[in-house]
Amino acid sequence: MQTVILTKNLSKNYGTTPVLKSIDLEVRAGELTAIMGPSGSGKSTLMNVLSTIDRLSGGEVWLEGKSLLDMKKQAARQFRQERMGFIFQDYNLLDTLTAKENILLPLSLRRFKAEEMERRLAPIAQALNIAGILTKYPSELSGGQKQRVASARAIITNPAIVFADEPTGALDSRSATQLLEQLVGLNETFGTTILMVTHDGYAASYCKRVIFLRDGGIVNELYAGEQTQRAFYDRILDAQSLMGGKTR
Amino acid sequence: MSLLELTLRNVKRNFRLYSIYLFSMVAGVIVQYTFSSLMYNEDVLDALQNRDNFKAGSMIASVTVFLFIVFFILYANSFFMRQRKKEFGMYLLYGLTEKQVVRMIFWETLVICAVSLAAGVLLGGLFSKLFGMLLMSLMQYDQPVSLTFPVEAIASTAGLLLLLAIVISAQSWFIVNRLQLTELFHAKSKAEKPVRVSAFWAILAVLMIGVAFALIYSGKGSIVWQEYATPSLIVSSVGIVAGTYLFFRQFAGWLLRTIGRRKNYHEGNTVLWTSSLRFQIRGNTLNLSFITLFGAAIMMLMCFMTINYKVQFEAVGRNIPNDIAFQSLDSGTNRQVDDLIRSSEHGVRYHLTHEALMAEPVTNMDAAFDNPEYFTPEVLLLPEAAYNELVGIRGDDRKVELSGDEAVSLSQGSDFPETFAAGENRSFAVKLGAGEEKKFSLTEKKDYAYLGWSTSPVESMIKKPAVLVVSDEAYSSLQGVANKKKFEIYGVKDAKNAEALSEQAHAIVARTPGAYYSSFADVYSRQIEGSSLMLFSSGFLALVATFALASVIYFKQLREATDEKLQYAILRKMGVDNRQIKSVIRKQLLFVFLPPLALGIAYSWSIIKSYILESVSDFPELPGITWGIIGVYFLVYLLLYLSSANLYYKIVSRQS
Repeated sequence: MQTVILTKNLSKNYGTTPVLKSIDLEVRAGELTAIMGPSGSGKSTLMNVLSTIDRLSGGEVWLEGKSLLDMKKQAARQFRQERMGFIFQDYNLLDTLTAKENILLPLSLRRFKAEEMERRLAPIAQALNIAGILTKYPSELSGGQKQRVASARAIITNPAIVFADEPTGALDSRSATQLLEQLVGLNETFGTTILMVTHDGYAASYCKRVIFLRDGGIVNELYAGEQTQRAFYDRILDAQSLMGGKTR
Repeated sequence: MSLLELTLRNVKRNFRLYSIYLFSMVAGVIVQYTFSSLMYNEDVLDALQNRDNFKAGSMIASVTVFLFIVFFILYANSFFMRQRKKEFGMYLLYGLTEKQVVRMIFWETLVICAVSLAAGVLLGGLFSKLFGMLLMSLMQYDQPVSLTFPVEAIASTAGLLLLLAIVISAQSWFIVNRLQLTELFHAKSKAEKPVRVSAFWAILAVLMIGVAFALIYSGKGSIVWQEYATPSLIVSSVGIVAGTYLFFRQFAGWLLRTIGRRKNYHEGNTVLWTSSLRFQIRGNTLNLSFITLFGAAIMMLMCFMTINYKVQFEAVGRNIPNDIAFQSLDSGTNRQVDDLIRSSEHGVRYHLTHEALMAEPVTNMDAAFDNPEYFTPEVLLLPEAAYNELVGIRGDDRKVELSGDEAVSLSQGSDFPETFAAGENRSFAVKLGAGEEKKFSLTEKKDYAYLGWSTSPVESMIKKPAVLVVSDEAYSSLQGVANKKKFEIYGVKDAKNAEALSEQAHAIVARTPGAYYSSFADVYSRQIEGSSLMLFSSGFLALVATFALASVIYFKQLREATDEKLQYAILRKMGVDNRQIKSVIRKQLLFVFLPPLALGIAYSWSIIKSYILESVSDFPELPGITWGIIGVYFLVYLLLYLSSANLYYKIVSRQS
């Protein structure tokens, strides 16, 4: 399998405060990975650095084999626009666009042809069960619906990787379960690589692999393997209590 | 922390917001102070011939300016307060009372007022010198205007500010008291849906505007305006006002919807620049209609006043063509006036004594004279030779050649002078002396005067003699049966400044009640001062109005940009670059800015063209001047557009 993200000895400081310390990480295409850790463990910073939103302070990062250090700002932006998708905790949908317009926006901005956009939209809308709400505005949608629209927007460009920052953070447990099931579905149906940051063990238990972060370093890593989601969830909780981190 | 410290901190933290507010206050004070200090400037007052007129005129203008500034500042304040609602809510949440918050706002306002007073008076003083010189040159006086700071002007400006401080505090009090703490906890979201639009209303909007234009363009000579003036006026005003409103609410919405339904709508950034517009239509409608109509009104006012001013110089000469003319009285009186004129510094250029026959019209006066109510009821029959003599001296190309019963009526001021072709001559009958009737056949109705309006140094343009030029043969054949009147017509040097001479001459002539007297100078100085003042005041008003217009646009953009900040932050996260964001903002603002400009210019140009320029078609430079004024408006507007787009971009790119 192809490597999407590779980091060697990655570090990041804010002033003199180290936030990330010598991180070695490899994410392969088609993986569904969670990064877990308590608040302040550096998981959001890691995601920002990996997604080119923030600059790294030391070490190296390769995205699809291209070194981040060699990338200029404009090239990084283009890479982000073309090869990455984002799902945020607060959805970040544009209020003035309908669900469909929101989803197609990344393609619109890259001047795709109308037919191609429609062609891509149909199966994704089907998979995320949002075909019926495409003409609605975000203010008319529930939190779960909004997050599904945001997910559709994230994958419509066929990105190499989707970064999901606490995607279930603002959802009630039912909508959260629904969304997680659909993200797993996207991963299985379209082979989408997803890197999810969460502090919620339940959300993490849907992933195939969970990386634990603490004080800026990787302290543990779990693989789901063949076990059930339920069993994997218990193992995650155990690992969390071993680390001394609080489960919530 | 004391309230004062809190206030100072506010100013420091919110400096950008305060600076915009402060700027509008200072601008308001400058305008008010400039105008009021001009009113009290001794140098300006010294130069004027008609001080009372000036005082009355500038009083009216300054009240208008004053009202405008109050409106303008209140608008700025309401914007300012709305931006700070959250801040006030936080104070209330942390236990300050409403009273304390209002007191804090009052102190702030007082500080801002004091700063604006100082800055405004200093700058306004400079401006008033500048504008004073401009006024003097408009009135064609060479009077230097010194830089002064009249106490009355400072007092009236301070009074304005005090009033504003009170009104602003009251306004703030309302806002703070209405503030719901729960508002703090609700994130702002656009809950409303776009305005519902229908093709029917969109078409109606275009139709209404179209009908209004068709009516206006048909011109005032057309049948609709001649026969159905009132309904036409109503239809075209309703068409303009309601059409403009519908245009911005329905047509704009319909246009956006049509764009949204196009097949390639999703390609490119069309989605981005049209989408927020859909939600803005509701809030934009009134604003944009106001901007359109207001802009058109500003342009029309300026064009009208400028044309009025330009035409005035010539119009006085057309209305009162004689430097001094009066009805011959007894030879002693005539001699007295003659001596007076000859001994004055002006001196005589020419002197004619002409004789005319008095007649009473039998035919309705309308046949020969437009607006007969402006003319004396009796008609003077003037021999062709006498008429041509005066026309020759004046150097005008208006001589006539008549024979037999032919006659030409001098209907000065007519909008529709006519020449009657042979065979279509209009007949005009008069009764002479003992009752003998004489029928003339009119070959022409001229927009020209032989004797102008009768005037006096205090009252200008009373009535004008109705003169019918007849052939010399007809004249001599009627001489025996009619009563006669003689006129003394003088040309003097430097007639523009002969008010003093005219006053003395008038005093002598006026001893005989009802005697005709007419002097160019009587009207000239008054008209020029009057129209200069009108032009000046309306220019000033236009300036203030433009300020108000600019502030409406500016504050609206500021508010929208602040609201949209989050949306643009999302776009940036998605990897949209600055160039694309700029292009979206430019397109979005162009859609908002362009229609009010285009409609406003179309309205004002068509009205000015059809109603004003048509009536003064013998001034070839006027259309150019009109376009010049429209051009200035265009430039100001363009500047507003560019700076708004720039400001918008800056606000949405600022990190919060």
